[in-house]
Amino acid sequence: MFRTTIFFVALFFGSIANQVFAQDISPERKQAIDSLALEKVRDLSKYISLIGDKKTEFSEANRVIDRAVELFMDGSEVGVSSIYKPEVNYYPVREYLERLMRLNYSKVDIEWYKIEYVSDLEKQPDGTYVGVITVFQKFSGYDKEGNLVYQDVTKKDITVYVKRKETQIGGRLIGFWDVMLGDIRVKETAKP
Amino acid sequence: MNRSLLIPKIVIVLLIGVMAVGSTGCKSKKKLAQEQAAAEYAEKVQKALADLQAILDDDGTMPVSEMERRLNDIKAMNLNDDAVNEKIKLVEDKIASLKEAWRLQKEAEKEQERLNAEKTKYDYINEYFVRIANTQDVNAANGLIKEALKMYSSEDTPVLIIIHQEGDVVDYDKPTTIKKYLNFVKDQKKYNNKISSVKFDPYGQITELELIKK
Repeated sequence: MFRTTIFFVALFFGSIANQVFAQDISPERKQAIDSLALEKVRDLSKYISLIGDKKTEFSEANRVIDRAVELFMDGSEVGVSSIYKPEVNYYPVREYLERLMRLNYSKVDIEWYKIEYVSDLEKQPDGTYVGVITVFQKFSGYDKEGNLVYQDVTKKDITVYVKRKETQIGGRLIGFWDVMLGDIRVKETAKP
Repeated sequence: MNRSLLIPKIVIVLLIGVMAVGSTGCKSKKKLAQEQAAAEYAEKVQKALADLQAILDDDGTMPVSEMERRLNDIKAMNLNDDAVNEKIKLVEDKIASLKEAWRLQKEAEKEQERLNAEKTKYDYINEYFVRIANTQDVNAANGLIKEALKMYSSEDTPVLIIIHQEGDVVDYDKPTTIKKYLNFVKDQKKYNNKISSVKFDPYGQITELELIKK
């Protein structure tokens, strides 16, 4: 009986807490945050395409790697898969990007599309909003004769963390939304 | 019958008769005046109601000042009629909402004028972002970045981007620096912001740039 009472009390307060979390920002404000997080993933998509592009100068590619790494939380990993192997290997973000820059193809095209939320941003008890964005990546590798030698389409899930923070700039307090990307998990890989 | 007694009796009767007739006449005159006053009041009420209704039905042809003048004339009559008072309230509400709409319109026009002035004022800053975003050649874009940086007090000049505003609460994207932002525009080949405000140092160099998402 005591346990049951505790359970219902916890359920009651849990429900109130959820309502409070859900209500403390307006739908318009939430929409702005949703869009900001999606935009960061689109930015990453462009960075990945630039890093993989053999035409990008080495110094530029390294600068872009730095910028791309800044989008991630420390310790995040990126999954790498192949249509020839069933297993998925996970690499720290910087290592993944550096490997991408050095891929043994003469030309690499990486295109991300269908970038959308698979799980909406939800506020956690610590105030961080967490959601999952799914992307489809079409990877194409060419040899020096320009022949397509490898191509796959991989569905990836990216965890996004958004937290409101404050900083002092020019003597005034600025409230900003810090969007950080987490692990990029491979969901499936197939031939296009 | 004694004639000497009969004459005073007749006079008394006549006097009573005259008084009675006089009193009745007075009463009907008063009644008439009351009826006349009531009719005049009813007419005033009807006219006031019609005037008030005309103001309520107006679809924008009557100036607000005219509405106010008519309303004040009606209020000055102190008709103290429930229907009139009710309509006066409605007209007052209509005038208040028209005045508010006019005030908002003026404010919006003023803001638009200010934005247009700002837009022109900061065109030279915006232009660099647009050109960098549209430059396909990396070296040319880097040249433009180098040129643009001369307008800023340092490469680390803060760039703030407003993503949402709600009353006094302003939400920004993570603050960045001008060098990083110019490179971002080059890498992403996009510039989807506009200038919200700019701070300068005494030498005319930019010390803070605030952008707002379009």
